[in-house]
Amino acid sequence: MRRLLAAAAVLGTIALSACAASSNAASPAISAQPTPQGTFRGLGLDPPQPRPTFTLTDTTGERYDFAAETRGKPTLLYFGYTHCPDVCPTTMAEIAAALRATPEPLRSEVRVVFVTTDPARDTGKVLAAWLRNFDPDLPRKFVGLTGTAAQIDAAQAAAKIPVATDNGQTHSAEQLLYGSDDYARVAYVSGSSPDDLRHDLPLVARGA
Amino acid sequence: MSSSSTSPAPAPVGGRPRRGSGVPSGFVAAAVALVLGVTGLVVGARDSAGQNSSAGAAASSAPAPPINGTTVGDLTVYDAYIRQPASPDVAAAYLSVRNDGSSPDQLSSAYCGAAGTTSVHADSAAMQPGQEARSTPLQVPANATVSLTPAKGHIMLENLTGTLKAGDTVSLLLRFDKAGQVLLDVPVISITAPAPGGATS
Repeated sequence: MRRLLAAAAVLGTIALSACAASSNAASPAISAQPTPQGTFRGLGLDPPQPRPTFTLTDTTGERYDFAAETRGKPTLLYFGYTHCPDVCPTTMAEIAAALRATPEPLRSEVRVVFVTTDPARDTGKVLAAWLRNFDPDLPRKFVGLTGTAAQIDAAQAAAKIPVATDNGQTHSAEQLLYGSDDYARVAYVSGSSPDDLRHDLPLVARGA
Repeated sequence: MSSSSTSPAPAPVGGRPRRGSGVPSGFVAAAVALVLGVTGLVVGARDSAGQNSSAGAAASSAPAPPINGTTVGDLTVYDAYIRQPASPDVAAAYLSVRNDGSSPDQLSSAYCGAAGTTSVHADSAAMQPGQEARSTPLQVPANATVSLTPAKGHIMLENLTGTLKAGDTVSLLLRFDKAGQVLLDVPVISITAPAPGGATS
């Protein structure tokens, strides 16, 4: 319990409320934790977070077992909603920019999974249309997931991030990056430079 | 407190998360409380950390260099843009305002023909749980420059009347309390284009 709460405190400080309410790494409220390797440009997670297990529904209506589908692959996990005016689309565009700057074969290895916090409005069709704005030229399309509100709450709890409130509009701004060893040692908040993610992707792909 | 298990154990390679994760409900409550609490911290922090902070601009006594913008009274609005929206329903406009006058002003409302509803959200963190996104005016202190940038603030365009594509130009009417109103032609830029003026996203 103590370790869980410690993790909550770390994530709480880098999580932000409201799609619109994000942070930047320069804010005094945001403190990057030193990473064991000291090599990441994102925010270090200490202790590392295991790849969570949850099952939701993808944009084609199929069950998507997150742990099984992404195991062993560098995976960026982000929770948000498509009616978000600024932070969510900005974040997705930055993720796409980082991947465009990443050479193959790593670019095709990376999974990007976006889970809606607003399942009432974000149907599979809405999610798919929104995501295709960002990845049209990328070899591996972004995965969009939805489910019941309870399932999505559970997925956030499994990922050890604060559960969204306010019909999903107040949600964590974190993007968790899981490595090939199925642990996340680094996360990003909106306002992070795409170059930080581009820099860190090869490291987590090696299981750094 | 005498427990010796406080140091975080390194993650075992090949370890698996337990199914269901077993997160206690207390954790969830604590996490929610944390995120709500952090909002206040971020709000307070931004004023001192924001690169566009009015304090920094006001501290400069040198005459401001000319900028290419639209002037109304003592105000000059520049680097306005709308990012092509990924959602068919909602978009955001961003801009900077320089006040060369000796009295403060504020942008309280805006009107955009491309949207059914236009509102100023100068403080993106002002959203409170259980409330609709709250409109907050953009304060423009005397002799200062302020900016609406992603994650800090925006003019929200809702119920879009049509599709906004990169290359389009949208009319945006701003109503300042003292300087009055000014009509801008705001370019829509692509999802991947850099913001005008080098503003960070």
